[in-house]
Amino acid sequence: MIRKLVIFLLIGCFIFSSLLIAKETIILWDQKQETEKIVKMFNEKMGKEGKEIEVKLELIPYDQMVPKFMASLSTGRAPDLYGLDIVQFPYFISIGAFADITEWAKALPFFEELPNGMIQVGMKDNRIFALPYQIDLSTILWNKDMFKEAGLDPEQPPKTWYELVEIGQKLTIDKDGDGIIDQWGFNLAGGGAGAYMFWFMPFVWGNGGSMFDNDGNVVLDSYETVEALQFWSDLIHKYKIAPVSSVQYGSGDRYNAFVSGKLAIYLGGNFNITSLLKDAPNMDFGVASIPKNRGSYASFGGGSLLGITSQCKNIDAAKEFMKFVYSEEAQIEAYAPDLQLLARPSLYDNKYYNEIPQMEDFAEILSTARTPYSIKYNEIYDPVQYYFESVFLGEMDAKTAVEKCTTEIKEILGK
Amino acid sequence: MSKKLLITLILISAFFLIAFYWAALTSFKPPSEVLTYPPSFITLNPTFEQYGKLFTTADSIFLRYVGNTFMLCGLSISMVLIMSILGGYSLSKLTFRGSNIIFLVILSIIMVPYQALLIPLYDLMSKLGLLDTIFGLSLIYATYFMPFCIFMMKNYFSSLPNTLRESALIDGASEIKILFKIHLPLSLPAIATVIVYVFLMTWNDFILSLIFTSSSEVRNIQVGIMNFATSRFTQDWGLINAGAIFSIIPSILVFLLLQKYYVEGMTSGSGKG
Amino acid sequence: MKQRNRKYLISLAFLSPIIIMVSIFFVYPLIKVIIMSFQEWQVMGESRFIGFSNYVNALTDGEFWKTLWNTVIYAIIVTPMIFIPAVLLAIALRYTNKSSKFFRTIFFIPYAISFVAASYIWKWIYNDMYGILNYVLISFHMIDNPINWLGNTWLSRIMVSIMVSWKTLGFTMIIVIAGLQGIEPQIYEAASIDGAKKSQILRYVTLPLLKPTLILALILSLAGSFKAFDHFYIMTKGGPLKSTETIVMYINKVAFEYYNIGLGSAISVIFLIILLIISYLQLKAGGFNNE
Repeated sequence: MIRKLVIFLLIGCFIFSSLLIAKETIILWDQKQETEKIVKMFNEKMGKEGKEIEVKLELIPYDQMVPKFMASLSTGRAPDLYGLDIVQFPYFISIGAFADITEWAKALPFFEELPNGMIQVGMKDNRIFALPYQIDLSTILWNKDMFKEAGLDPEQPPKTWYELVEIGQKLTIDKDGDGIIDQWGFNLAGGGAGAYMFWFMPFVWGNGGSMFDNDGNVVLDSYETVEALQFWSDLIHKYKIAPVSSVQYGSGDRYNAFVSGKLAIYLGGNFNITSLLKDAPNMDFGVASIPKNRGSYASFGGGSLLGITSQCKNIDAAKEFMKFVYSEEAQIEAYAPDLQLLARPSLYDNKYYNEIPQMEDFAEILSTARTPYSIKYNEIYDPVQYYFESVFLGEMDAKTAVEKCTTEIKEILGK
Repeated sequence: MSKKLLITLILISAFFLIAFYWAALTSFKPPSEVLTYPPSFITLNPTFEQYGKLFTTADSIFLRYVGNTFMLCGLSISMVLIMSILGGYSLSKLTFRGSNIIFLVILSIIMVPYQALLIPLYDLMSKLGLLDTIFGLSLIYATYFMPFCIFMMKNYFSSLPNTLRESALIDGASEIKILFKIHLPLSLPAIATVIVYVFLMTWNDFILSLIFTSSSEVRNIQVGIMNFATSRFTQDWGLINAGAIFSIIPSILVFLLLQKYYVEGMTSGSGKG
Repeated sequence: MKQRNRKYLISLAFLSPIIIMVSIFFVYPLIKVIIMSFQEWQVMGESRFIGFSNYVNALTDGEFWKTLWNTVIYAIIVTPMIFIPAVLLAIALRYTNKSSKFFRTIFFIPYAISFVAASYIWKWIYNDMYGILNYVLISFHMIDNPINWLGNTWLSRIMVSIMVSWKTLGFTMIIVIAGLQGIEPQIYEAASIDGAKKSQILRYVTLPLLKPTLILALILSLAGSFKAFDHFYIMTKGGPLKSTETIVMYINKVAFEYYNIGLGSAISVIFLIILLIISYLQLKAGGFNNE
């Protein structure tokens, strides 16, 4: 009996001690499957160099990124590194969820080339808490075959609002004459406030307006915004180049319309290219900036930032991994094959991008990227969704909607 | 049944079944035929392509969802079965002062919607480290699907004569033996009802899995279908319909196989009004 | 005496797993939600008590009232859509024979499937670009242009209700059939001997005797409508213009998207009270008091 007990104790001690000398494990949360490749490359490299660091990736679905982080923070079980949706960072930085990496980040050799607008979102009081990681940009995509059929130059996408209407009207066609439009020139991007922010805000920016000024004050209540809202509404009700149902079309609906040849100009982004090449191999399509009016070209700089959380147990190991993520090797071999946009524009001239003509202009589009900064981003979704949708459905005039929306956003931020 | 009534009923049935037909048809169409207008009501090239895609994309994650859901069903069914058999027996044959209060507390769970307790449950699960685990989720299922089953088992045992137990006691049998050897074999219909009820509730659950799990390794099939349907930038209707059709097969099979007991059991508490 | 103690102990032992589960996963959360509703909750840091502020915020919050209103409207629309066909079908199928069993099964099958699957199946039927509903209506010249069925406030409420009716009326039908079968056949005989017509029997005999069953089924379906989440979450995401955002969706949003735990708890408690009132009516109607 006693002998058995001793053996058990010995085994227990053995297991316990093997746990103690186990590798330093860094937990990384991310939403993209492709990151697995980077993690694998990193762990192999560490193994070769004989370092006791291992990164473990946990994939978090997009809609769970915030709730799961909240829960883990409140119980002290946050991951060490988090590649989180960029727009969520101001809030989490404000509650102290991320570690300050200013000096280390500024010393990185590639720091200067990272998109500045996105770095700003990961900053608070001139301190840096996170770096641009995966980039999603809003653009238009157009079907060149449809342009040819309509007698338009397939290499000339609409560059201005005026051209969008003009070209869009030529592309809105009732093919069989039954009174039902079979091909639409354009679709609004609906299906939620996130879509409005991502695709509608570039119209406001492209008209010289903005949601926040540099000091974070709400400046949405402007003639520029009213005009942009009215323009989108007119696309449906006045120029009739987009169906009224598209106010509710999510990204998937528009994607399906584009793939099945019911839509000529499509609000999408870099993330559509891979799936389009697969789902519509015969389609000839191009990618360009969202048309502008009186302002300058703009794109929503979405995607995610990568930061070290304040509950990280081994900051040096986390930094080591972060450095590796931005290395040429990791960026090009893990992200570029799937045509993901890299955080380092100097690497855009790579063998994977060069094969795809649609990837040509992204360095330029990236330079026009803007990201709104708000620590209550999720809550301003609500008024944005409600009032913008009211205008697009023709239930409220643009001026009133912008006024009310601005008042509500101010109220939310003032709380 | 008159002819007129029969025809009406057949028409209504057609309305009921056409939704299934349309979904199944879409799931068997080749991808190029899904997004067509006018839609075709029959496909000349039926294929399993959508199902193939369903089970292979993203490292066969859908299989994982299916496996998770079966595991959840297994865990919650066994927990509920044990608790409702023991509880039902004790509340019907081994009553004592206070057992009525216990019964009322259990019944009050039926009255309180768990939708109102999501927040404290989330907090509790996260403190216990049960968030995002299959076991943790099945504990919640068991708690909230159990009351109806206890209620039903109690009713069922009550309908069995007390003399069964008393004569066995005189023969010197233990309570456990009386319960499992004498009462259980007589209660198969009630047990079947419990199984169907808990299976359907667990298999079809959406909100609890949505909130208490977050990584794809533990999510159930319903949330899995939603994940497939709302991948951020595309929406593949062939795939969605394949997922929906696949997910309803177990529900319908279980229901059809045991419908006699299930329908009786479900109405036994309410029908007499 | 010893015998009785033994019985008591065994009984308690049998009940202990239930008592443990119920205390941890039901009683504790129930108390906790009430406590949390009086607190300001911090993600990182200590929560503190702030009195009734959360309740004041909830009751002065326009969106709370809007979601409550949406839920009530939905209940008002969907209840007759389930009830009228369910009662008619129950009357048509009240006698048990081969054909009625077959039809009952068909009408009951949608009840066995999940709201998620049902929502996607119907969302695809309603799809404005490729859906069959638009196609059929256009082919029969009932509409000129495709309609976005889920894109208009009132229309989307009705279209979701049609799906719910399709899915759940089988259950109501079965309950009503059970109620009908519980009516003694002699009563019908007596009525027909007295020379009552079929419609008169239905109006003056069947329906009054069926009243308790109908009330019970009504309350069950009312409670179900108040708890609606899955199908709106999937079919409309609460839109358009928040017209289909139900109260459970609002709780979910406030708590798990805004992380305003205190406010979410306060709304949960109010929601709980509403449901308890409905359940009280159910108890009075005799749902679980009939042993």
